Amino acid sequence: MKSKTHFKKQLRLSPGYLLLALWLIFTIYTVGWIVCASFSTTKEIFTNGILRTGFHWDNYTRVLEKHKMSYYLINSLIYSVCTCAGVVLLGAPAAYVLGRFHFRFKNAVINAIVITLSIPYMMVVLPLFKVAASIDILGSRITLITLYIGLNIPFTVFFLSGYFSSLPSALEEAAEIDGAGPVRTYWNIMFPLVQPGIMTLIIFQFISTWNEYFIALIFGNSTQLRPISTGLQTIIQSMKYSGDWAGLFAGVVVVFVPTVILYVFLSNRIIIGVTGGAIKE
Amino acid sequence: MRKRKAFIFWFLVPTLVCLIVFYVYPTFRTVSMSFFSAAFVTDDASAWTYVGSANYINLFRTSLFRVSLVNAMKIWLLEGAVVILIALLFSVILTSGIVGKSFWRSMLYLPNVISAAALSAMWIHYVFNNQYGLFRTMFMTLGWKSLAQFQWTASENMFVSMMIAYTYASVGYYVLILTAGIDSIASDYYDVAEIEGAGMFKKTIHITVPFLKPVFKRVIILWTAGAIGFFTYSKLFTLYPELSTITPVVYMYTAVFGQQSASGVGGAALNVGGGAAVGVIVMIIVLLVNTIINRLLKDDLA
Repeated sequence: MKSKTHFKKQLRLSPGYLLLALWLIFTIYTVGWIVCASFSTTKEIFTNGILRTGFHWDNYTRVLEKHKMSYYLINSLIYSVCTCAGVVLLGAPAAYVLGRFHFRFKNAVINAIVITLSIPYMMVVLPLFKVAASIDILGSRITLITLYIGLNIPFTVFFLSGYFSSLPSALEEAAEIDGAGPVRTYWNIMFPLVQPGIMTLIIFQFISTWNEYFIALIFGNSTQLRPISTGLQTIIQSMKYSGDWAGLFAGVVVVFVPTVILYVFLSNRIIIGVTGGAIKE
Repeated sequence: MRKRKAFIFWFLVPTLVCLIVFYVYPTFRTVSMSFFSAAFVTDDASAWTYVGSANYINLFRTSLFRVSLVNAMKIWLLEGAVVILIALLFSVILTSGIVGKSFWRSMLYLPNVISAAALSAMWIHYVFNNQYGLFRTMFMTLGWKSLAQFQWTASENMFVSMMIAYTYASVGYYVLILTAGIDSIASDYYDVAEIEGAGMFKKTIHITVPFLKPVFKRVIILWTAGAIGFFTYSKLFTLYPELSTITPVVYMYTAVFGQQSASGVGGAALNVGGGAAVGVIVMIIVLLVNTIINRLLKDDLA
């Protein structure tokens, strides 16, 4: 009886399933086609016969070596890893203090962080470019790493302070009785306890740095500095002129595979990061 | 006690330094820069000449900048309505008791984790392609000749194509926010409505939408920031010098850093002050919209 009403209810929801299925089919078909095209030849792509002559791995070797994609990949990896480490090391202590202590100017600091969250990047890039030029770091990876860390600190503090404030206060009292100083309490007790929050933040930060475009275009516009997002655009420009469409799609696949794989394993954490901010898991 | 104060201070220092160096100082400097004329972004302040409001007046006299503003408004209003309505539709579906909710939700969010560069390449070079593209083959199979022959990437259609691609990329984000909001509404309301015989549409209009007012406020504020600061997709979808897809931030980028000849912006000397003025205008629009939204959608007691 119960399963019958359940079935009836599901039947009533069928228009919803239909729309979701359309979205799913479009996504899988399009991504699948691009993956297949990346293993085909350009001629096969234009004659609707992808994969007719089997797998052409040389599209990948061409895009990775000749078009320097492997170089851009390494750059992106360096930027993403350094940014994640940097924002956690510099931002988490402030998040701890703001999430757990009361002191003068606390609200002023929180307000300042919330306001900076709404300042668009284009308001700050021109002076930052000038500063980077005058201290002569424009041609190095340090510039992009520093910018990514600095610009993302407000979000990090905002995001993590919720996790810190949800911990029970008995922990600190116990640590204090045991004679642990504030730095040790933070590092040995509190920091490990917010691991779930830190992990969510790191995944989130990794993906957004990997995909970042605006700052990368302005501050890293040379072969040595380009990350994968602006790098792909450069490759697409040159492949369009040389008519290498198979290589173009190989480049697209190289860009999206790492983040999609991360997403397949960690999508729940990412979704919590977007919706909850500080929702406890 | 003093020791505690010292540790609080030192824990905050890195963050405070970042706030000042990366946000406070640059914001004030951009505002002041917008009243000066400077040839290069790397010029010292001593090389700037004070021009008063001339940068702003020049901008509004430049037709290309006005086009970019109109485009930003179109994105904000029309595209915003489309994206938020589709997101609301999907959120209602996801929270209606379907099987596999978290799977569908993560499928909808998937485009958000893919680089915009890769996604727009997927649209421009596959879906919209006029020889082997998905839309062409699909409409051919359906027998819809005129749609199959539609030139998606011709410059006069580029704006619409860009909006379609951007809808696909951004809907999932708002679905997440809206479903989280709907999930937080007590299920009693829906149960009572169901007993009273209300359908999905009535439940959406009379329960979901009113209860979601604060969530909608957040959605609109997030959308506004994205739409007025629209950059990446516009840059990636500009294949021609005509710039039918130009937005204020792309205008600013081109005016300050850009290849002038290829883009048609300015043509004359670079003007960094003008670029700074664009930033200020964008910021003012965002603040204005947010203030209005806050007034209109006041958090009354639910």
